[in-house]
Amino acid sequence: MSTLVSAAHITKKYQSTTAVKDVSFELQAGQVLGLLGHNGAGKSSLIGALLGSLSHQGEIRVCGLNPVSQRAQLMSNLAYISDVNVLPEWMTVAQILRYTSGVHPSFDISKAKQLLSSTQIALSKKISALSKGMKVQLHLSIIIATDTKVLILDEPTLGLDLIYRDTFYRHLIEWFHDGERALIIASHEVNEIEHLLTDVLMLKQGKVVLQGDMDSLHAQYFIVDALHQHQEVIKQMSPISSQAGLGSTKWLLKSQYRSQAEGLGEIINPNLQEIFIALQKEGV
Amino acid sequence: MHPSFFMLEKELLEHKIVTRLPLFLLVFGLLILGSIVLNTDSISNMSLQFNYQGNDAPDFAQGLSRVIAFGAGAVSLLLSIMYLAKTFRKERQEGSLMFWRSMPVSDLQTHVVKLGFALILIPLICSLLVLSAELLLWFISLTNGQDLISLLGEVSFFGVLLSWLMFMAKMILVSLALLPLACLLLAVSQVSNSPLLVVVVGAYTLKLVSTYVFTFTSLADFIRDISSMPMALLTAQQPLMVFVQVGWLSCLGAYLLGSLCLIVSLLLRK
Amino acid sequence: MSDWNDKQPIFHQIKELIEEQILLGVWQEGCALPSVRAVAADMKINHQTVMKAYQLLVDKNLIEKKRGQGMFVLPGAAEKLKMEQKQLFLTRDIVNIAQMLKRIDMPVQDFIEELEKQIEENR
Repeated sequence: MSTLVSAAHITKKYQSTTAVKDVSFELQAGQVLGLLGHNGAGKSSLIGALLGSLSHQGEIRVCGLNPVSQRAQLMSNLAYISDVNVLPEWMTVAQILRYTSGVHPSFDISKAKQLLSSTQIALSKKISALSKGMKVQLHLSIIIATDTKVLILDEPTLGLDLIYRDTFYRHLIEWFHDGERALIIASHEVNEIEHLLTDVLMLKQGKVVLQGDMDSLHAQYFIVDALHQHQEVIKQMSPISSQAGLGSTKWLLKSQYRSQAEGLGEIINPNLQEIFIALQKEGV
Repeated sequence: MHPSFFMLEKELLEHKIVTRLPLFLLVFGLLILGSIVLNTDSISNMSLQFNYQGNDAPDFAQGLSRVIAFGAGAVSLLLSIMYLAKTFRKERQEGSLMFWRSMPVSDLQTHVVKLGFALILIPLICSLLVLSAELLLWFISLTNGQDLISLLGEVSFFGVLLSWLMFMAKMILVSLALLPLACLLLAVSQVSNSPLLVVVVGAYTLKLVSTYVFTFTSLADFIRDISSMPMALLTAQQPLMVFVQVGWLSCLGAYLLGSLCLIVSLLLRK
Repeated sequence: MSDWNDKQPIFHQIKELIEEQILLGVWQEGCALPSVRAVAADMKINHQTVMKAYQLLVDKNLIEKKRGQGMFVLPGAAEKLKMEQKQLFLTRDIVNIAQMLKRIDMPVQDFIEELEKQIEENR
């Protein structure tokens, strides 16, 4: 497998604040990285650096290219969809497809048209007349019809209704399955993307608070659903978070306490959302 | 086909005024001419008037050609400047900048296409306006009888082609003179939302400050010469003389500043 | 997106779902299972997770991979699963029932009568 993205010691400082502090990661073909964090955690800055639109310290290579000095070349293999529409509103669907076919060497216009034919998006329609979901769908169709190796999604389904969400993820997963590609998804909706991810990078105030593949992540934490009477014992294990229920409390613990906690209640695998919320709360 | 072709096509779609204004002027001119031709009384009146003024007819035809050429040239200049001030700002304001930058097109190519659109394609479109207007006059002179010929004098097909070529030659010089200003506008329009205002106010301030504060008039002269050059070229009988009058030093300075602006604009685009 | 429980990894849950469906006859023996791509897109999960689930079934000799054609249910798979469930019932559910009978003080005879009644009704 080939390394598609490598970022080493990425730091982005603004006058008074540090948006990203010493973030490093690598992404191989077949990996899906979830970029998690609250607003202002540094997700956008990191994405900006990957896209070459933000100056930064540290070394980034996407498909072996420098995003700033080799942007034009890189854009044959790198694409980006955000929650803000970037498609030119004054163009029609047919016009934007024609333009892309002219300037993008690997764009397959018949494939794009075929993808769009399964949706409500008519070629003669102006982009400004499309709904938010349609615009995202159109953008994804354009990207799928090119030879994109690395796709970065920034809150892609924000404000989309359920039907468009479904089509979006369906096309995305099929496309991802069909090639040697890597995907980076930044999203608040942790539950929605959790099962797509192979890796996680969690940021808090610009710093990495969690990094690794999903399997090791589940090996790092567990939840014990214990009766109230065990409260004092469990508090000794420095629980990360707790959620009180009827007669029992769910405690999120680090896996080093697993053998100690096993007799105290039912052991549950935490989902990403629970770990996310717990880690974001920690130390605030 | 080369990517630049599709990029130019996109600019044409985006800035429809570039094709619509010349087309509108052509239709407008056609209507006026039509009404004059239909109303033969007014033609005899006009020829009468001209006779009174003592101008002979062939001069009027030449004068009309000159008016058409000047009008089309001024429209071209206006469209070019408006386009240059708008194109980068519009992309930024509507948010499509991120989309254009997500295409495998280098910043240099984008700049070359935009300059080519403003300085080659727009004059070319306006030259079509000249050509069709001249052809129209020629056609009218063929079909309409003596009245018009007495007014316009002999209009030949060769003459039509000649004035078209002359117009294009003149516009090449105008575009050359406009090039440094074009680069300046591209650079300024990336940081300001009203680039034309910034450039005009900036130029006047520089002029005033250099003249009255530093009593250094050469800078004011330079700004005046360079900024008035495109218009001077349009009205000049012998356009090449305009370059001579401005002087090679000022021209060189303008091009140096222009390339500097282009570099700044490329860096700003990053 | 789907209703996964938090007791077991998802690939395990997919495996169990397919086993149940083989038992119910949704996937007949000798028939093809849906492609990894289709399952991933339908369930909105990573295709590697689906591949893991299919691999577990291959390891249990319930399905086989035919090159270029996908996954097929092996003959005897349903029978094998039935045996497995029987075993599971004897080792796990019977124990639970015994514990329950004890907890509610119910004689075995009464339980058998109730059970027979239930079987009669379902017939």
